[in-house]
Amino acid sequence: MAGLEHKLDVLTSGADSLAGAGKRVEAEVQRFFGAEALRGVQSAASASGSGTIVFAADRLLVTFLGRSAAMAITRKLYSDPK
Amino acid sequence: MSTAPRNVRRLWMSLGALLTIGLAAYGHFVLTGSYDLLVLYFRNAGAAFFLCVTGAAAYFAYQVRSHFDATEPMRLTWTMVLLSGCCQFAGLACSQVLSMDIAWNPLVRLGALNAQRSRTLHDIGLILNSPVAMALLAVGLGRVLVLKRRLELVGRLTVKNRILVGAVLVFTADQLFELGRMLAFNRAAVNVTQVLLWFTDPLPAVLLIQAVSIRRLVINLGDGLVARCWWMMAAGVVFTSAGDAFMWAQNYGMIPRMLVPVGWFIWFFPVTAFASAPCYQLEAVRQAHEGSYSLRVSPEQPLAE
Repeated sequence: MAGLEHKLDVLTSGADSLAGAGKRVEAEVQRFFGAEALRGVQSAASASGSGTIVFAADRLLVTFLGRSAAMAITRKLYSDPK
Repeated sequence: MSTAPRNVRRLWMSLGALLTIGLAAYGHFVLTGSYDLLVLYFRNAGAAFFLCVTGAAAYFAYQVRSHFDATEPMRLTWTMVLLSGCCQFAGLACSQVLSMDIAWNPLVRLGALNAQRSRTLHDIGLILNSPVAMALLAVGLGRVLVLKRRLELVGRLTVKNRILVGAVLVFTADQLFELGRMLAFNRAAVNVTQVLLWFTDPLPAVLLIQAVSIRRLVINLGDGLVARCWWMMAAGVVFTSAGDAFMWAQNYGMIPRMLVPVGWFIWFFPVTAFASAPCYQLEAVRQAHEGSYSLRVSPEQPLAE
């Protein structure tokens, strides 16, 4: 969990990377949970402030896919920041 | 919307093939009025299908469970689904094969099957397959709903949902009332098996209420792989309830004789749905690991396919 949080910290360290990470995380949430779930995460994030979308999505991914799969997604996002 | 995972397609294609053969057997029954071909079909092809699909469901649930650490909350859910699958498999093995006088029953081949043993095995099978498996599944699904509520994902039930839940509760109360009357007036006729099987009536009601909640949740989520996993689980519960409702209607003489075998075919659907659900979760895990440098799962070592 600490590793995941560290990676997410790195991901969200700058404004550009934050926006990029947010978009990529949104794509992952839509793939695994669906468009409505994505809208839910987006509305939760907009209510709590920028950057929260990564953490809101992370909660979903870790809970329902497992820590290992969520870490794999994070690694993909980290290794391919485009 | 992406296509279904390969194992899901295989499961439903197998069911399609089985139903096609079953249709021929049913046609023979309609034309001749003889149950011979139908009985042959259900005791052999039907029983083999039940065993293979419930065995596959338990195996898939085991695979999904292995992707969650002991500290993760979904581990308990999948443990319950796995145990439920194992009970279904063991129950169907006892009630559909070991208690039956069929050529591929090992007890028949060994000459170890008599009427008493057959009845005992059949009762054990029914108990394992119905109340025990359902109770374990209810715990698993309940856990999912608790987790989704924690993540603020559970949607409100609509008026239609509430009416359905109300109808299910009234039906369950009626069943319990009937049981109470039977206990009050004819206690001597009640045995342990019957008492355990009584739980078969309220448990589908609990599962159906959970399925309605999960359906609302899935509508709220959309069309992702994880959502489809739980949609399929809810579909399995709905098919089980449809089978129970058909049996209830049959017991009250509401089903014409010609349509009675149709109710037997319903039971192929829930086992197929329960086996399909973990395939979606496995596909989601496979896609999560795809392209990552994860050691546990790589594209060369696909999980679900």
